Amino acid sequence: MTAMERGPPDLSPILLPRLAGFVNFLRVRGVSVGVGAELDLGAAVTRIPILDRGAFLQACRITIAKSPWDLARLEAAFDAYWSATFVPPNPEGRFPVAGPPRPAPDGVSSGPPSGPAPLALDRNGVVQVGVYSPDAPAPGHHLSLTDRRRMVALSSGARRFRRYAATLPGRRYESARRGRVDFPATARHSLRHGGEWVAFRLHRKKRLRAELVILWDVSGSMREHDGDLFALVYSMQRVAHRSRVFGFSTDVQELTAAVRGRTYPRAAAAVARSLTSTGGGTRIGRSLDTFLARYGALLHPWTTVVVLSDGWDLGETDLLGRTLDRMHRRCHLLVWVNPYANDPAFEAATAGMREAIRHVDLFLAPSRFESPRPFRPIGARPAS
Amino acid sequence: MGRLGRGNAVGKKGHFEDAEQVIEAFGRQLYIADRPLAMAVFLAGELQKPLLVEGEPGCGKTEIARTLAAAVDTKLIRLQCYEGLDARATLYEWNYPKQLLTIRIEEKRKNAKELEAEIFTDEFLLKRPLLEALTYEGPRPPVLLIDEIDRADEEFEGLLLEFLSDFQITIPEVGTIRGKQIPFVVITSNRTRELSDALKRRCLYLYIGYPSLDKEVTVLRRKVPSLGTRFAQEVAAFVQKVRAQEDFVKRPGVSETLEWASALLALGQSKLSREVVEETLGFLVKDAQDLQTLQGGRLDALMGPR
Repeated sequence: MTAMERGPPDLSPILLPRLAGFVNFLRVRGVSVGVGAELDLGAAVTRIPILDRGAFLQACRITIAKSPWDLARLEAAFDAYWSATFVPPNPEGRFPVAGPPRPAPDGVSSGPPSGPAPLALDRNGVVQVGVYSPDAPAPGHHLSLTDRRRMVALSSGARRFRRYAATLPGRRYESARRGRVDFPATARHSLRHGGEWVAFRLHRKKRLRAELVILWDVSGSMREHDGDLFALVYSMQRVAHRSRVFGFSTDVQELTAAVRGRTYPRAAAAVARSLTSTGGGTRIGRSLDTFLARYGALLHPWTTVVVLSDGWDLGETDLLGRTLDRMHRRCHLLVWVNPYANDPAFEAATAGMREAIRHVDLFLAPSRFESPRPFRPIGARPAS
Repeated sequence: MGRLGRGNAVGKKGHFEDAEQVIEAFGRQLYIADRPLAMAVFLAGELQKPLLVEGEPGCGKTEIARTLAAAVDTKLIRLQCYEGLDARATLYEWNYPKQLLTIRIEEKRKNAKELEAEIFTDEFLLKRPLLEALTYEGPRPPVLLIDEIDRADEEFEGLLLEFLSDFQITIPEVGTIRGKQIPFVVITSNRTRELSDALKRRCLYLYIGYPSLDKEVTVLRRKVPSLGTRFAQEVAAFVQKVRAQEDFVKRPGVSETLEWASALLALGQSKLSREVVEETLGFLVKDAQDLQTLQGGRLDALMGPR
């Protein structure tokens, strides 16, 4: 029995199961509808002219959706579910979830798949998902769990990195010349002077928290480092006060919802599922430019941007330079993590990497997060 | 019955009976409310739930609360969020200097227990916006605007959960304070970060995007009446073109359009010309990089052939 079926009592017995079915339909389609929202919808429909389709849709939007993405999904589902011709395939309102399209054997896209393709983990913990474009590498992202000791080391490194990049106030206070009155300290100070209130002691919050924007290159050239980099992404987003995670190759895709609040295996599975639309090839400059256009509002003087990429750019290098320059001007720190940077013979040989290194504050290898050494800027700032 | 609209300002019966009445009441306050917005305000009143409004900057999110307060003739209590906002700035704070002074004055006449009873009373309590909204004693519930919540810490969201769930505040020295009337809460966010699911679950949700050309013309005509219909259309069409530039860091909202239109009027213009647009671009485009892009040739393309 759903929450809708238990109440509210004013709902008509004909409408009630259909509303409950609609909520189930939305859940199957990826809209997270809580019991509270379900009851709100039930209460809302008793207060609107239910035969007014527009008013009913508005009530659904207001009570169920919690983000712009929910709104888009809800509207599509609303049209499908409440259309005159629609007949739910079973009483539960459940539908097979369509998987990603698979490439045809001859290497040419063959249009929509004939049936739903289930998502699955293979024996190695690799989520097999369809990834297709003319120059795409083998499908699937290897995001399986690295060994536990490495995860602990990475978490510790991510916390050190957070302290290095901290710009936001934490809960702890430190004494300061300007700030709020610290009454306990003022009282202690007065006791040292015979109980006279000599002067107010001031304190302010310590800068302990960081806001991170993580841009992870998920293109084919990075495929062999997927597991290591995802472990780093996962550790960083866990320790940061605020974090947003994006994957990019030829386009940008937000992965925050797939990573946040999940255990490592669940996050890995969710991310791999989310990366279905990732094509082959890398357009770092174009992707970062798209990121700025879509999510530019995320960059503030207190934000740290971390780009995880090998710098292998098939796009315009000039655009990459310009975009990194724009990002660098707008954020607190711009950090580049290159999986090849710990190789002693490493040189910034690719055009993309040569351009990038001029604009970043820190250039690191992923393994640097496992070392207890403090982070130091490379000092290679762009000539303005 | 909507808990807000009991004043004379709203409808014959004195409350929002439906979304249409919200549109009318907002219209009287010069706010062009479309149906989704009106429905959200109506349902938030009916269901007694906070309304979370997200959307592009400058599209009238904060204005909803102001207009609502004016439409129902009640007080607007505003809490502007910022980094590091805490309970002392949002709930209550003891007036420490006054307490210390009272102790010094009264310490010889009263014992410690009497002093303690005296200094932890309402007289020494500084009410901050959330407590003020709960204890408001006007004829109608106040409108509490929690503005730009995405600027505050996640801990503040936690603090807010308690307030929004029970509409009560517990002060250890005094006890639990419950509101006699539940305030109408409007929470706004610019989506610079994702809000917690727990907060979103407690709210009804409304997203406000950029307005269509027709709506923007109507807003211009309503807010800047001396702007002619034709000039308003010209201004709105240009703003729509600027807004369509996907590579812009900060696209102009409705507030920028209104500012720009007022500036054009102040300059005595009745038609857009390249020179005037270039001189007044700063009113419309608020990012240096976007400004450079426009001045570097994009403006000609947007203005069309001379």
